[in-house]
Amino acid sequence: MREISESILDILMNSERAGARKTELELFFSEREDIIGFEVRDDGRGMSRETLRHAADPFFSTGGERGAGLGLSLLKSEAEQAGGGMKIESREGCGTRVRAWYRASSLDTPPVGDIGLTAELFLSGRPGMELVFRCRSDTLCRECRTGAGGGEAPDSPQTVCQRVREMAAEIIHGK
Amino acid sequence: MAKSTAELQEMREQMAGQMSLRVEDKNAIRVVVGMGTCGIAAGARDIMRVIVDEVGAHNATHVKVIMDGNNKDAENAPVVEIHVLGKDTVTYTKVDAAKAKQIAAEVIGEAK
Ligand SMILES: Nc1ncnc2c1ncn2[C@@H]1O[C@H](COP(=O)(O)OP(=O)(O)O)[C@@H](O)[C@H]1O
Ligand SMILES: [Mg+2]
Repeated sequence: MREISESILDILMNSERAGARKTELELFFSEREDIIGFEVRDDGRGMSRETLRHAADPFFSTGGERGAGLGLSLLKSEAEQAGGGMKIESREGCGTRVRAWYRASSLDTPPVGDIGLTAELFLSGRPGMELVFRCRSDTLCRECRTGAGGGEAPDSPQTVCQRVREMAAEIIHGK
Repeated sequence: MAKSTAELQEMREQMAGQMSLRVEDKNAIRVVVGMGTCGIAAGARDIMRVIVDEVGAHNATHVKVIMDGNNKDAENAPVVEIHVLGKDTVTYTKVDAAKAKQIAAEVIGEAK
């Protein structure tokens, strides 16, 4: 992928396909640890142990002809290429967590790119989807959310996408 | 007939894939952008942005731009399909930004 935020969209689409209603996306950047990356957490159907074991194998997909089985394997190889890695945790019936990280200073690390666009497209036409977006750096942690969730009043998708852009810009400054 | 868990899951997945295609307005022109892994890797996200922006700029409320996470036709990504009720689906392959603008202009014109 040319941008980390494109990989994020692909991973978010997996969550949607898994029937997720609520998705949490965290973007993290640690200058101190020279790490940049993201985590997607969903409340979708999760994976069986067998599926989890093979999820990152190239061409492994439970999506039939609708799945190419390249998303997780591509993410893994791109992250490893950039001195990082990828980890999947999943429980059947509970949900899935995918975390990918890259060495921030590596030349193979793609730019984060337009994460606001990724959020915007993911949310458009999915009124029932709740998205929580979190940004974390060595010194900051910020969060915004959309959709029908409990707790405080959610922001509109437009507001959230704007906030996602601003928060990401603040945290990654130019990465 | 009773369905096995696997069959039910398969059905659910199929429905999830089609969910995005189900638009309230039956008369809408649906522009479906292939957003599977290969589509995204080939730049489909930015193609979708071009089309969404054009449609928005022309206030073409009858045009719905939708993304489809299913992987098909990977060699020809990015793929954009135009669905109009009662008409054959038109498929554009290897869409670049210029072609995306052209597609948008066409569907906006048709919607008027
Ligand atoms: N968020 C998720 N929830 C449940 N299962 C998942 C999730 N993400 C991936 N998987 C499982 O891992 C498989 C491989 O995913 P991926 O590499 O993205 O390929 P594809 O999306 O084309 O199937 C999927 O087919 C699915 O079985
Ligand atoms: Mg995938």
